[in-house]
Amino acid sequence: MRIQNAIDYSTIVNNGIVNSRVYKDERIFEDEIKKIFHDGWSFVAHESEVPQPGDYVRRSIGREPYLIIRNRDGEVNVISNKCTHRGTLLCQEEKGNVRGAITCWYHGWVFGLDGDLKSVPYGTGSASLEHKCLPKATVGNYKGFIFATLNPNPVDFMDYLGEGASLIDRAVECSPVGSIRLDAGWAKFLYKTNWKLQCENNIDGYHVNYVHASLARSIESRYNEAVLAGEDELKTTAVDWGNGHSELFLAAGFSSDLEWIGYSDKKPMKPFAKEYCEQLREAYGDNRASRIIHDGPPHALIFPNLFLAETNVVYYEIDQVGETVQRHTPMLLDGVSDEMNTRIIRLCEAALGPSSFFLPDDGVITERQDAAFSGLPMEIDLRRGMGRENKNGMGVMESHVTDEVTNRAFWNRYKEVMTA
Amino acid sequence: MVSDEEYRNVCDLLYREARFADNAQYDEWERLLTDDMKYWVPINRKDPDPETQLSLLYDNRSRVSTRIRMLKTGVRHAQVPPSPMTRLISNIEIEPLKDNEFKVCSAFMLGELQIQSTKDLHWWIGRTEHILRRVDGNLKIARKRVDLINSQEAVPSLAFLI
Repeated sequence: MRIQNAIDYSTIVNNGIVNSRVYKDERIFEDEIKKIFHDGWSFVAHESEVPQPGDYVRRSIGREPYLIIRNRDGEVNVISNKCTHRGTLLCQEEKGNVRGAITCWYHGWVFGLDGDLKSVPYGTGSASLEHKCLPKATVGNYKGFIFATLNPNPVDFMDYLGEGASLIDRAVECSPVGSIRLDAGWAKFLYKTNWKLQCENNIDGYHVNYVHASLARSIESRYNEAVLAGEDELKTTAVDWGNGHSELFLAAGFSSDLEWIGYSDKKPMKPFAKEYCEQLREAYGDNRASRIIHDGPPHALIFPNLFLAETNVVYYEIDQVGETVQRHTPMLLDGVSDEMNTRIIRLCEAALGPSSFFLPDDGVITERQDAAFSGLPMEIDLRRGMGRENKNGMGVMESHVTDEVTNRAFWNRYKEVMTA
Repeated sequence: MVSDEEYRNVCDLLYREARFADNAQYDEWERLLTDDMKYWVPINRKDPDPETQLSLLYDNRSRVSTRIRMLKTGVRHAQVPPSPMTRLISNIEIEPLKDNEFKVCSAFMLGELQIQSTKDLHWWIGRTEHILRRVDGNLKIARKRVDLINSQEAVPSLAFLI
């Protein structure tokens, strides 16, 4: 019998070089499910998705089916969606309300909203039921963004989140009342690639000229600065915020207010947009409001699976080594006009999803990448800009937008987690 | 009820539109549209509302033009080369509306070869609702709504004209 050695992640990911088997190897994928998604924190839902007691959404942690469900006290729990009797999925719909209790339709076991086993039919014949409650994940909630882990003793949630908290702050403060909601529905885009290729692509500022050439040649957009300018003229930056979180700071390249919802010198603001600016000034005062009006929400990846995609929220669930489902939804703002939120929905359709103007091209290019990795392993070189980053005292690194500092941020964290 | 001639005119238009889309004849396809055309692929299967819910796409006329300009650049990678496709259209029902308009409901099955990367053969299945309008004697498409049976599940690239 041949015993396979443990994977040596220190050689697979090394100083900006990544061995391509990391996208293809089933054993590595199994390790990732355990170390990243089961033992560590990942995004699962936003609390606005389950406003009332009994409301739930189905999500997966790794491959494990879970319910994000609000209990009678208004707390949001993350509990297993598998009956503890024979494993049947309890809730089949993507979302809904369980009306007081969760009933398994196989043998009628009934669970409370906290996962406690309430009753079983013909209970005297059943063996001990004491430990038959639905397993609960450990939950972290920052400004409504719910993260979970199957680890009962995980690293402290706020330590994991680190500067990711300030990224979420910058998304949420785009609402004049500091609150967002994800209730316009999710779209799901299927990529035949490893999930990490999508994480890399989302925070890669180097590909825009080529992958998105067709859009740049068809319309003027806020990405033109990134697309058309020469290397020295680009003002946008790429930022490593630590803990694997990273950002493309697009606002540095914006020349007009509300460029992030499509306004410019050539396209004056409509009344609803002016009204939105007024609401921000009233809520936050001139200085802070001016910054929000100019900058908009961040374009940032929170390790491992949450992508704050400007006015959208994106996350990944992983199931197979070579297949990734990207889910996205518009980030609707509380306290603004319906017209403003409809604008955000239209932007979401233009940017994200299978028939949008951006992502199908990212999808096909990364699928070609994934297909090519079926051959001999190769060294993926992510060293662009290495050594020219500006470091501040807090360990944050900022560099030219086309520098692969964001991808290195992801991989450095990945290596830490996988070798821990 | 519509006359046999109207029925044939409507079928002719739907089949022609399908052929133009299958063959990536983008200009010919666009010439079938009215100036205020709306193109919509909802996600929600029950009472979708584009004002408050996300759709897969919800294009006004100018966004349809952008979509077509992109496809014609030759660097819309998701459709380089264009997917070989064949769609079958059936179950056509026509309801006359006022003002020279018809509502046309039909069913389709569309086989697409995803030649750009995976080479998967994918079936797109659903129903279409067209609003057709007679403009200067010719029937044109004023609205096209496509409801996929799997719009709420994970779908691959949909960068072609569905």
